[in-house]
This record gives sequence, C-alpha cells and structure tokens, in this order.
Amino acid sequence: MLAVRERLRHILPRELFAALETDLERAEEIRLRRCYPPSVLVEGREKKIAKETVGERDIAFVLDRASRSSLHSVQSQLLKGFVHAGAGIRLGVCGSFTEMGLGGMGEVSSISIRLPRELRGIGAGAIESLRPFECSVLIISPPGVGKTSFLRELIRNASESGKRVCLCDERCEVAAMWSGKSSFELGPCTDVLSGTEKSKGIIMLLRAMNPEIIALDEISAETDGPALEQAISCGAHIVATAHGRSLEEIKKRPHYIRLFEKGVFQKAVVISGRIKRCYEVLEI
Amino acid sequence: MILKVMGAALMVACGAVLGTKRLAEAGKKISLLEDLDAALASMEAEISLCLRPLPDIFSRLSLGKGGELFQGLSEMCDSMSAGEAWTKWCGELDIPWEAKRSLGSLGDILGAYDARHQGAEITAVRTALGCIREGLQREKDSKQRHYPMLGACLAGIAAMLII
Repeated sequence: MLAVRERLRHILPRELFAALETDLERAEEIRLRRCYPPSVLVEGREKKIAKETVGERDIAFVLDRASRSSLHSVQSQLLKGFVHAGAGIRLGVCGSFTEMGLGGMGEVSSISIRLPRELRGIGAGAIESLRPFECSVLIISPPGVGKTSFLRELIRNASESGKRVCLCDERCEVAAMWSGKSSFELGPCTDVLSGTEKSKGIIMLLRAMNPEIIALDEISAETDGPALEQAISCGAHIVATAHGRSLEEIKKRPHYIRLFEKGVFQKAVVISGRIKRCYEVLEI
Repeated sequence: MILKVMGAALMVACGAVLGTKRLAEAGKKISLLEDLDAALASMEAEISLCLRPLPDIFSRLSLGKGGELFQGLSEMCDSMSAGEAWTKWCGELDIPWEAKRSLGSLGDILGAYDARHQGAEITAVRTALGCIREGLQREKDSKQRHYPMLGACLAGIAAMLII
C-alpha cells in the first residue's frame, strides 16, 4: 500500500491527494470527471471527496504524470482504454477517441483510477481444495468482488508449489508489470506475458514457455476459445476468470457452452459477497 | 611618435579582432542551430518509431553529440512536465529570438499529443529552424570579409584622428 500511496502522491494534483487521504485505505477507485467533483468508490458506492470540480488541467496533470509526460508512449494502452500508471494502479480513460487513438490530453473527459489490492490469504479454503493444481479452474464473480485478487492468490500458491505458471496478462491488471517486474507477488515459478491479446498470448506461451498452468483474466472474446482448446490439447491447465453471478448463468452463454462441451474446465470457484466474501468450489 | 604609431597599430588590430569575433559568434549560433536540428531529428524518430518517453529521450540526447546542451533537461522532468521543462530550457538557449520562439512552441505539444501530431510539429519546427539557419549563414557569408575590413578601417580612421 505504501508504494501505491507514493505513486498516487506523484500522479495526483496536491489538493486532490490531500482530499483523498482519509479514504485512501478503503478506496477501490478514484473517479475524476470533468466539471464534477472528484469521488472515490468505497464498498461499491461513490463518495465525493471535494467540493471543487475537476478541470481540464487536473485531468492533463494526472495523464501527464501517469504517462511520464509522454502520451505517445502509452498510445497502444490508450487504444484499449487504459493507462498503466505503475505500482499496480490502472487508469481507465474516457474521452473522444479516433481510430488512431486519443488525439491529445484535451480530449479526455474522465479518468477512473483503479487501485490495486494485494489480499494475501483470501479464499485459502478454496485454494486448498484445488491442490495439487492439476485441473482447469474457472473463477466466477460479478465485477469488483475479487476475481482478480483470487486469481493472483491461486497463481502464487500454484507457483510456490512448484508448478510452472504462465500468466497472459492482456490488460496488465493481474501482474501490473512495471519496469520488467510484477507489482504483486506471483511466486517463483511464474512467467508473465503482458499486453498481448489472450488468443495470441496463449499460443506464444505454449510455443515458448512450456507451461503447466496458463492463467488468464476475463476470457470473453470468441477468439479465446480455440486458443484455450489448443492449450488443453497440449496438456496445460487453464485458470481463468469470468464475469457472472453463478455457474448456471455462465453455462447459458454460447461462448462458455462450447468451452464446457470441449471439457476445457473441470472446476469452478464462485465468489460472492462484496463485504464478506464467500468462495464456493463446484465441479463442472 | 613611435608610441603613437604603435597605439594606432594596436587599435587597427583590435578593430579587426572585434570584427572577426562577431563573425565567430554568428558561426557559433549556426552550429548550435545545427546541433538542435540533429537533436530534433533524433527526437522525432524516438517519438514516432520507438514511442520512448520524453525524459528518456532527453537523457539519451545528453549522451550524444553536443550532449552538454541537453544536460539537466531530463532531471527537470522530475519536478515538472516535459513540455514545461522544454519551454524553460529553450528560454536559456543562446539562439536568435525567432528560433527560440519556434522551439519554445513545442513545449505545448511535446508529450501531450499522439506520436503523429508531435512528429508533424517537430518537422514544422525543424523547417523553421532551417530557414533561420540559412538566413544566418547568408548573413555570415556576406559579412565574412566586411566585418574585419570594417573593423580595421574604423579603427584606422580613429587612429589617424588621434595621430
């Protein structure tokens, strides 16, 4: 949290960081919308942290600091709608985009600063029941309930037990790589491929890294399916997350029906409860 | 009388030296503009092709030819945006004011727009600097002989008057 605090101190305007200080420990996200007061997301609800409205200068300041004064160097991230700001902090960016990306800082209308949480030991019971990590697991939960944190914990445990885990981190959110290092502890046997599309990344990992487990965050694209099937046929196990409230809900989606028919996943972990989390391990 | 002649000769020599010095200063400015043009070309490539962050580009420039010019520019980026650092740095350069204005205008663009936009602006500034440099060169060439001669003549006239 110290690294996150220091990074936030660097990327936020001084007055905004001061206003945020009391809520920082509990904040999940910081929302900056032009012409509206800044707010923080605490336990799923937005709370205003200042009376003054956010201006173009504030938005430009945050983007300037997050991109090291170089919008061009985060152009490919911006095309995907985010900027990685270091220490696991991710900026979701909204504004006027063209096919070439974002023209300039003046085009940005709002920023959502997502703060990372390294929750060590969460879902320990569920993780124990998944040992010795020799099956493919789908982690299911609604947004903001802790899929990614549980995925990190699962990766770390599998890696510490000696499994070669390869993480395909398309949106740089799970490992939050910064200067070649992961912002989170992911274990000694984990290799991270970040920034590439999952469908391409899986094939790259299969060719080059000889993975026992391939970990992915949020499989949703149709193109992910064939790559996942190929990974399974090569003997790798998959650990992935999906947005959803229950296994039944997921089973109704055409994309997942095919994956379940092909036997890509054997187990599911359903996470529920925003404040008191419940981890349910199910056979598929 | 000998002293008067020696004094006059000294004045003539001083005038010639002053004229030559003036020419050398113009030459120095031209050479500085050439270094800046090379740096801008390098920046353009680093931004467009490598998408390298500006503070890293500035520190690379400080290691290249004429690098002493860019010393400290990268460090300035720790406390201010790269654009602001650039504008401040431009203000301290010993170049003609129109070149300073043209270079300084990049401060509003650098880092704040996509690579294509920044590349186009850098090209425009390079063109403007090229014109200024050519103007200086023409001026220098035309005055190459005149300055020392003029200096010497003026000093000679002054010496004659004194004698």
